[in-house]
Amino acid sequence: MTLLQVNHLKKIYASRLGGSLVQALSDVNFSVEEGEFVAIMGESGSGKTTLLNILAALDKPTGGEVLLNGKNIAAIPEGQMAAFRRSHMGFVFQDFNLLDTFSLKDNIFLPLVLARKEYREMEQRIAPIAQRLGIGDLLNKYPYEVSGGQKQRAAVARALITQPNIVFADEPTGALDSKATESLLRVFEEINREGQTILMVTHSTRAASHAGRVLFIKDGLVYHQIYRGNQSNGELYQKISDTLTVLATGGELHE
Amino acid sequence: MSKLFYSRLAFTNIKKNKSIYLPYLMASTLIVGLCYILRSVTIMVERSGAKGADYMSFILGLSFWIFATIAIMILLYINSFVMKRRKKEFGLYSILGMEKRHISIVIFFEVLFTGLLSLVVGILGGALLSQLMFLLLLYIVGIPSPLTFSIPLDAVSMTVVLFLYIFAFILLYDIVSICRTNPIDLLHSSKEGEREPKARWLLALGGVLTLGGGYVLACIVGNPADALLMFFPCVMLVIIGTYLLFIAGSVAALKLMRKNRKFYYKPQNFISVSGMIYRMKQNAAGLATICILSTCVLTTLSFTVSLFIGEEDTLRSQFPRQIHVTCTDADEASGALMDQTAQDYAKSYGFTVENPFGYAALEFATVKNGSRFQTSDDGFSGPYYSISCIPLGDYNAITGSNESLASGEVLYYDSDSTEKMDSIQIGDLTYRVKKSIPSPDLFNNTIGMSRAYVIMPALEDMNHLLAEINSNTSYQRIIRYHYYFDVQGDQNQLPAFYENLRDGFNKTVPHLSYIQNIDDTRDEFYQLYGSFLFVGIFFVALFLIATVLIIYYKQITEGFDDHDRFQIMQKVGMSDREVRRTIQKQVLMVFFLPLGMAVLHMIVAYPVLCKIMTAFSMTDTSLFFICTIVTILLFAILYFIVYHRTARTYYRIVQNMN
Repeated sequence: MTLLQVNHLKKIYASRLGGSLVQALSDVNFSVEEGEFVAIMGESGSGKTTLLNILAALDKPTGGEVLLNGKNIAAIPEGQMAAFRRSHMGFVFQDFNLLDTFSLKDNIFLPLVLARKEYREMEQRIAPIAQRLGIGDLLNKYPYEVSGGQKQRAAVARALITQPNIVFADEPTGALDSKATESLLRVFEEINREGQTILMVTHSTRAASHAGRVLFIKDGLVYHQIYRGNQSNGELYQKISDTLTVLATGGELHE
Repeated sequence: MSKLFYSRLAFTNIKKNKSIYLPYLMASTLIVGLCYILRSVTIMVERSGAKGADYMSFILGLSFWIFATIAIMILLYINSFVMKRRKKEFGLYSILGMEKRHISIVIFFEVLFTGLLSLVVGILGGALLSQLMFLLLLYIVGIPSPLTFSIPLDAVSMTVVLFLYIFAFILLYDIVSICRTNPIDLLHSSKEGEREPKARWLLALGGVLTLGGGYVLACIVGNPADALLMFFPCVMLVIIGTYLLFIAGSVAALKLMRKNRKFYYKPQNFISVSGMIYRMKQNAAGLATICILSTCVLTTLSFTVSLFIGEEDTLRSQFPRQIHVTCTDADEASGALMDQTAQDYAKSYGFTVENPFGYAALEFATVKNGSRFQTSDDGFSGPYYSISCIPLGDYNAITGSNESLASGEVLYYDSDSTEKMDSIQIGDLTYRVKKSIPSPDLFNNTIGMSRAYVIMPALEDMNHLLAEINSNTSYQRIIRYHYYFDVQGDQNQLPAFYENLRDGFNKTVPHLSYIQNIDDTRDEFYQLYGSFLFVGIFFVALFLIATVLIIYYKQITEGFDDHDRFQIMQKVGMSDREVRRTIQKQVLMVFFLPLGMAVLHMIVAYPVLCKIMTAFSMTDTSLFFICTIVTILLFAILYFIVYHRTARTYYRIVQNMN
């Protein structure tokens, strides 16, 4: 079943002083099936972040549409937008975006509190998630007391606790060392295996090699995609790396 | 890369940091101006040679130094705010290769520019305004004077020198604080303070205790003399308590709120409470300062204004008649002698004596112990009393009553107790109280102590008592004769009449003591309280500047801190409206906390202040009440305007880039 459908997405920025127009996305089309783990790759300036912002309804497209569960997210009224995002989407960011004023537990609770859930329910939800992410002992610590990898796990827990349809991850390994990166990607794989749909934007080949499908964006277009099929992470890594080389040197793809 | 480079850099820095420097400049200019005005008015008063000028210039001169001291503290405080915001910039400079020496030069020029600008503009503006203020002072104290435009150079040089020192000190402070931190710290310094503050329960408890202690002390003081005595300790306790409560108590209270899950895990409380815990760490001292300053403004203003407005009433209570003449060693003939002298003297000016009355009195301060008034020096314990013994003859004549007393009997009035007493004891002498009498309203003394009147059969009984008292104490008491009268006649003769009054009485009345008249006293009153009011205006202005600036800088600092937090929350799924509402609630709480506390202080202090007012001979508490209410209202309105204006800046910073 198709969860996310992106049709002819277009985004043009006008620079601040009016003058020149910058086309960030020209015509993006793709769809994400339920239970998929999709990575979107592209170089800096390729339009990755713009795309993610539009998908997450943080930004409005100039043209085209985004359908989540068949529902056009542009049609959701402004007043219900925050609630919609809260209940249907989870977010993981490069710089964690945890609030220093909250303990990890309260950080994870934040979307639930905003949704006015009962404390008991929040407690019930957090226990299994924290357990699986291996942060069960850290819940009462504050962000400045734990490592980057632990912070990112807490951020993942925050994204998952609302049981969202889809988790958007924006460069989630960007601020992590290689060990923490590896273990975070394992976590992503695991939760994906349990049925969680994930859309991850990254320019790290290693991160993308954990995904089930990799989309490549260049100049505001989906240029190419690779399915994992039965390949191992290592094989996929090689393939992604080849593709990137071709993309960078401008040669033809030899599938 | 010449010297010009640094000065130009300094100049662009100031321009670039307009939102930080403009209020700072305005404040320092205003403070310079106020200092100059105060000084130049003092000098103008001194030179005017008007009646009471030395007296007024003394009060003004003294206030100048107090004013300058507070001004220095305020400027330093604000400067530290400015520096904190700019450390990142200086960090960047040193990363880019500037040595601390070079940064110091830049800072030197910045301080030079801001200092010069505020000195020049401040003094120029002050010079213009000082004429107006001088006229205002003369108007307040009721001295007529023609306007003569003058700029006392003494005042200019004094202000310049004073502020050169202040700015030099600020420069030194800035340079030292830059040199003591390394570039990386400079870059990160505005991100400091992320660690969650600990709840310091002991300090919080201390705050509750000291504030409570201050409040209780304020509530239980009995008479005005005690109130005056206890006022300062009360104020100290309340100040300490306020600081402790804001610093430790607030965090402790917020942590308690956080423990209450039902309350805490609601969207608005969740964000406000957790945010406030951090906010309090950085702002508690500032907020407590705002609270104390606000209380100062409220107290100073309501006190001076009502003292000033209530002056005429006060005079009336002190002067039942126009003129008051006293002599010591009163005897049976004193009354007649005074009468005669007054008649003769008045006649020489073509005046007639009206409504005269007089009485002999043995007056002294003592301590009351049950029904005994102590007369020896040692072992004072119990309420202080001012006691007046008056012979029955004088009492009957004044009040028009027709009492009689046998030997050893007295009539008795006690301001603090209506309890019927059979006998009283003064020293070792015991008197039978024949009857309690209402207060003989005519004898008003100015000190707001508890008071007792003892009407004795005759003057010789008082002499007997006097001998008894004087044998017990080192300080010799005396019996005075008080004589009050009005005069009627040509008002133009009055100054000369007053002028020579003492000489006139001295010829015939032996042991002449003090002589007062209502008109001269009124002038002195106006000079004293007028000067107070005048100085009060300056202090209120200073406190207001400080309050406004602290609020402004707080808002800016908070805005930058909160910007990131609210951005994250919006990403996680908080709507614009929720953000706005949360911000509003939080800001309101933070900024109206000090005002609320200040008003609470005022409410508790009100009874004490009332008592102190009576010590200043001001008994019209309803006037004081109105003054207090009006000041609180005006202040609240002003506070709200300032809050509203700065809140806009705050929203802009927080919402920026969202």
